Amino acid sequence: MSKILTSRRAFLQAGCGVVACGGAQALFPQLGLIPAALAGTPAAGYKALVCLYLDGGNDAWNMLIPGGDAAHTKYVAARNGIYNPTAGNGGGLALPRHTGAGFVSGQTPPSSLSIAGGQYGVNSFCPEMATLYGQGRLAFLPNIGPIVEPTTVAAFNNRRRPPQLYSHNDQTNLWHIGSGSSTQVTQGWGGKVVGRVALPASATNGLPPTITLSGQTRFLSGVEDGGVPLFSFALSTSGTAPATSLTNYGSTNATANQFQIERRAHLQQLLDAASPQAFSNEYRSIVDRSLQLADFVINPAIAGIPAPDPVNGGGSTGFVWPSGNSLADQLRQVARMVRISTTQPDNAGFVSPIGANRQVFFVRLGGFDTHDGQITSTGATGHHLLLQRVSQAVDSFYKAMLAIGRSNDVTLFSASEFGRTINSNGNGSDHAWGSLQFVVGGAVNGGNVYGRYPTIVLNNSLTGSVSDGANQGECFQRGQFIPTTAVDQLGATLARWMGVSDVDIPTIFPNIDNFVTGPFANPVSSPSFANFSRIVPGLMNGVA
Amino acid sequence: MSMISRLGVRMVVAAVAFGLALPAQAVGFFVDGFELAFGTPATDAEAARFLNQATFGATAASIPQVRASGIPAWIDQQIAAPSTLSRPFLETLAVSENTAGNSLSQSHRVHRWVDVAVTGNDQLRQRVAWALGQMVVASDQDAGLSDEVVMMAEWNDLLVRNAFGNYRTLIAETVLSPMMGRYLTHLRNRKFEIEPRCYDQRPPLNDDTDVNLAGLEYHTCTGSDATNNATLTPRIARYRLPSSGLVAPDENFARELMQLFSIGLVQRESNFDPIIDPNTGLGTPTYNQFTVTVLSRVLTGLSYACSGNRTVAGRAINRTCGCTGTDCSFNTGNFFSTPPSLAINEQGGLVHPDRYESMICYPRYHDTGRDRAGFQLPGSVPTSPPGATIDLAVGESIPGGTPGPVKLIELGGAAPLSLNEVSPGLAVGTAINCDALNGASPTASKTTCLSYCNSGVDAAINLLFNHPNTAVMVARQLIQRMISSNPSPAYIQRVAAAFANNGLGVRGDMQAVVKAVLFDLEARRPLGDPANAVDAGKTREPLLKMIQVWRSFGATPATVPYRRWARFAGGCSSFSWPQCAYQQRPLGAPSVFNFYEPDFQTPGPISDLNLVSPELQIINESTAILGANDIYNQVCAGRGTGSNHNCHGPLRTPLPTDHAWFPDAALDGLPGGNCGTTCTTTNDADLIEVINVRLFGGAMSGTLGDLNNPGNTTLNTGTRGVLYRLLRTVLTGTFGEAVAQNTRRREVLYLLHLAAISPEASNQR
Repeated sequence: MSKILTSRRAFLQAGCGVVACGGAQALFPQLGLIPAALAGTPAAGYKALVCLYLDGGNDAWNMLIPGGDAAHTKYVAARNGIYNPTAGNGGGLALPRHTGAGFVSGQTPPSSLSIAGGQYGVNSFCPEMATLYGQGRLAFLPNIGPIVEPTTVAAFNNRRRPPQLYSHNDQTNLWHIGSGSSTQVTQGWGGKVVGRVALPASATNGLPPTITLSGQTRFLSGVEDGGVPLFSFALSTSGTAPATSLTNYGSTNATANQFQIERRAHLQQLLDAASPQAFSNEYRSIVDRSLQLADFVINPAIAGIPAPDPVNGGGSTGFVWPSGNSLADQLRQVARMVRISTTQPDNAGFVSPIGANRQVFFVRLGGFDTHDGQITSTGATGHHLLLQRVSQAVDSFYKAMLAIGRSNDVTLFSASEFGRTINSNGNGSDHAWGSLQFVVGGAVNGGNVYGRYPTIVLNNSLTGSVSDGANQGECFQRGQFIPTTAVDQLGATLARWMGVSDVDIPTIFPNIDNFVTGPFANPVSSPSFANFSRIVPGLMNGVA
Repeated sequence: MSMISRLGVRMVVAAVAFGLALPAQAVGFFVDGFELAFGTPATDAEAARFLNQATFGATAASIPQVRASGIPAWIDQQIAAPSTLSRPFLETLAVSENTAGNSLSQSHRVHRWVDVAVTGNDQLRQRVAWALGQMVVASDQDAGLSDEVVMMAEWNDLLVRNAFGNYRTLIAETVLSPMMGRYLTHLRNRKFEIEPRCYDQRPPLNDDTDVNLAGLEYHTCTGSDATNNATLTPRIARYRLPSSGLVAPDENFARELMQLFSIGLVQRESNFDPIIDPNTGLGTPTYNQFTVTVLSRVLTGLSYACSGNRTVAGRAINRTCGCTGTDCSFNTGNFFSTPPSLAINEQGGLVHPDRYESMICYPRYHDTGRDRAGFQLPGSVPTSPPGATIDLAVGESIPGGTPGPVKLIELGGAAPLSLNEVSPGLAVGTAINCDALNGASPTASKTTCLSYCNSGVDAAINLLFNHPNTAVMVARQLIQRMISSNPSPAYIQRVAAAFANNGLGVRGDMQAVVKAVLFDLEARRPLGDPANAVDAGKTREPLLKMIQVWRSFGATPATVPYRRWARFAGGCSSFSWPQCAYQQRPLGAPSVFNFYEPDFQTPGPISDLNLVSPELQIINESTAILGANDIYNQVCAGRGTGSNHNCHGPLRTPLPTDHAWFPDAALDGLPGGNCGTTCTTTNDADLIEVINVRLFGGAMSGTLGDLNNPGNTTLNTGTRGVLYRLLRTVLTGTFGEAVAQNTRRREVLYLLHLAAISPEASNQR
């Protein structure tokens, strides 16, 4: 039965063979090849990016579904039918069309919401996103993912492609890095962008331009001008003390007794003493930085904003922050940080202790790895509950930015390591590749779909046989789509918007010209690929 | 011993792999009479430093014990000590809690884990189990396990049992564990199911009526059209998917079993250096997507066993199985049946043991390369990468690596595994069809099918276990969890060699591996030895620092109705402690990638020095302070004034009933702890020293060279000097306490907390 073959075949790693993995870009940290930073120039004004990471691989083909009759029919067939447990199809992953086709009250999820003249339908649990699209503030990017150069099903073995496809942490790394060749790069494009255009922490009272609400992330790792490493600052979602404050040590405790103040002073002596040991030193600087920023910069600033502050919603602002929504908690904190990071004339004389010019934030919502239980009811459960939370949180965030006059200066974009298989595994979906993301903000030319929305079928190759008249997008046997827009291109567009000059783009996105002047950057070699350009044309105001 | 040292690692592995017996004079690495360098700690501080590596914290009792016995004997005693398990305790507790109107919750399990870590006797076993649980990860932060307290307790015990066993057993039990089955979704993993359609062979030919629908142009292969009234062998025209859609193996577990639990992503030398592919300049991968797909085909057909009526904690939990013994593998209804739970007094807790005992193979759902009707499936040995398909019908296909007669698993650098179908044959009736068996089938058929499933799983486990990478991946991670984040390549190689061969020809002997980790010169050289790397050691795991504070300084748990530890305050609740403060939770990692990654590098000086710093991935401005605040909350629990417990007052009465506290006696018993308001310079120096010994393992910086002049910063230096000045010049007077010793107790706790949150205490060296 089981037989160990005695002859060894030469092992050709199909996922990373000679031509597969990005050529000779060997970026092992131990080889010391962290790219040298070009001198940057602090940009004028204020802008901020917010990376919303949907952790686990969002099934975004159910966030924006096909709206045309023929396209929707194919989508339903490929996704094993419309979810309808009453009719025996509890494993189906498809949703009803915006016209109501397929909707059965109480048995299927509600019909999707029409946008773009009925060409697409937004998931019914994301009405806020449909509204933002209609207002021209939200844009969708279909079939975007990590990719090294444009590729096709037919040429799949003959062109470079990212390593470790379908692996969570590797694909997450590639999204954070911003190029698809290697997962070994230690810096992310968020960090690199601010390294080019942001004031250093030393000029903003110690607060770095990269701020996370959800843990350390490669996305925010970078270097400041001159090679000084960039530390991303971690905030909590606490309403009273977003920069976590040490209790019982007399720093800001109004009832501190003499001993608390002195104990704090002795802690400071320990924090002032550098250690020869790198780990102790790192911990020391983390704690020191934290206490300084919390007690002397951030918490006093947030407490010092005259109330009622429109960033908190309620009252006449016309919006509220949803409760029980951890993403909303994170975004509310981001909104507050945007509020206090600059001095705004309208802000009742509040003078910002930070004075930032560029910031990049990272927030995250988990739970998207829906191998099981993707759709569990006709209501807001499972994946639909997550999408609902995303929609509500993002909507409140945009309205908060409107309320403080920052809507044109702050852009939020979604990211997720991969999309999911089109067909069901019985009650969920598995890992795939290209997915769909969205971008929201006043500077976004929303109300458009940027890129090529594929025909949702299984196993489609435009460069071989055509399946059922499917003429957009190529995918493998379970609907794993080959991306037709690169993460690099979205990153480059947002980097340009943040003020990085076009000439500096390849330093941050080294593969970017694979999509412009590379050998496969043309419609003959790559018929499905959306844009042979460094950026996504038209997505952002002022970025052509 | 000398013969073993002359053999290279590869040769020894080869000897084991091909079953050669090693000569009789080969001896274990570590036998009686073996002289371990620095094996008997010369000071209390060195003893504590060892205990901080090998246990959850040095104590007043364990320091002299290990100094007296020496380290090898101490370890042998620990190996011999009875294991402290969680599940039986929690099952008994479930009965009493349910009766009192409470469900058993994960909080009960977490408190139990803390209790065992702080007070258990089998410290080394528990510490190793904790390390293993960060490598082979299952977690209650998952919809399938968050409500399963007894299952998670059994997962804990699985790690505890295997801590001093064999790594292959750990892997095998992991593959068959329903906890892992739920976590990485290979429970009830099913083979590809496709349906053959056959040519019309009954005259008049080609009179098919369903001409417009692809796949329905042909007939059921067992029907009269296809067989011409059972006179002809049916001929397959094409395959199609079942009407309910694709049934395919889930690949989740197969991937992580390779990536995280055994061989990793990149081929490694035995010293952990990556083996670089000269063509790409990158590490040579160990496997590819195709391997994942084929391995996932092997890991099909596993589901809960069915063992009938059982008794747990004196309560009967019944289950109707309709089968006995191995025949239960052929009761296909049981494949889909979840073992029941038992509510007592309408509260939950107890579950039938089938829910946590090893899964069994159900041949009906296990991939044999044959379809439901018994036809051999169409795939041939695939040579293509992901993207290859087997077309079933127009618009329908199944993924690369699809069923063919052979399942071929190749790993980079290792021998391939090839599994053939149960028996050859192309037509119905010419070979065993495992799909069609039930309890009444011929014994030979049942045996063949069950054996095929079990031996396939076994062979896959062997392939991964015997791969050279597994030794070095386990070695490196165990060193990282216990000793140092950045071991030298030679250290890793020595430990990997112990994994490869314990000296008696056995691979995977965890006792040998643990000894190799703790005995190594790199772990045992005393602090201050110039041969030590500056950045040896590791950042402490945040949760373990709090555990150590409780353990090393004599905290006591609540006792009614069971031993509880944490006080929930400052944003932490029974659902969220301890991850709310420490970003770590016993068997509660946020993902299968654990709390932090082995290769994480903090940007800045640490990455400039080419160091990795896994634990620092979860320590940032926010979490460092959250942890410091929770430590204060636990240190001062039961004390002070007002609704927030603090150290601004004495121990309250009555004593705490639902969380731990530091008894006055524990504080008074410390050197320099019992001097009330008349403490001398020696008392204060002694108190600082006991904290240095137990918590810092002797690593506290500075000296006290002028006890009478605390302000002399030239002679009273480092952390010692700062703490001494705090005691002598700041914490003076009575603090308004009527009882003099209450003043001292407050000083002790203030000092302990400040020391615990100091930068040096964040390190374990």
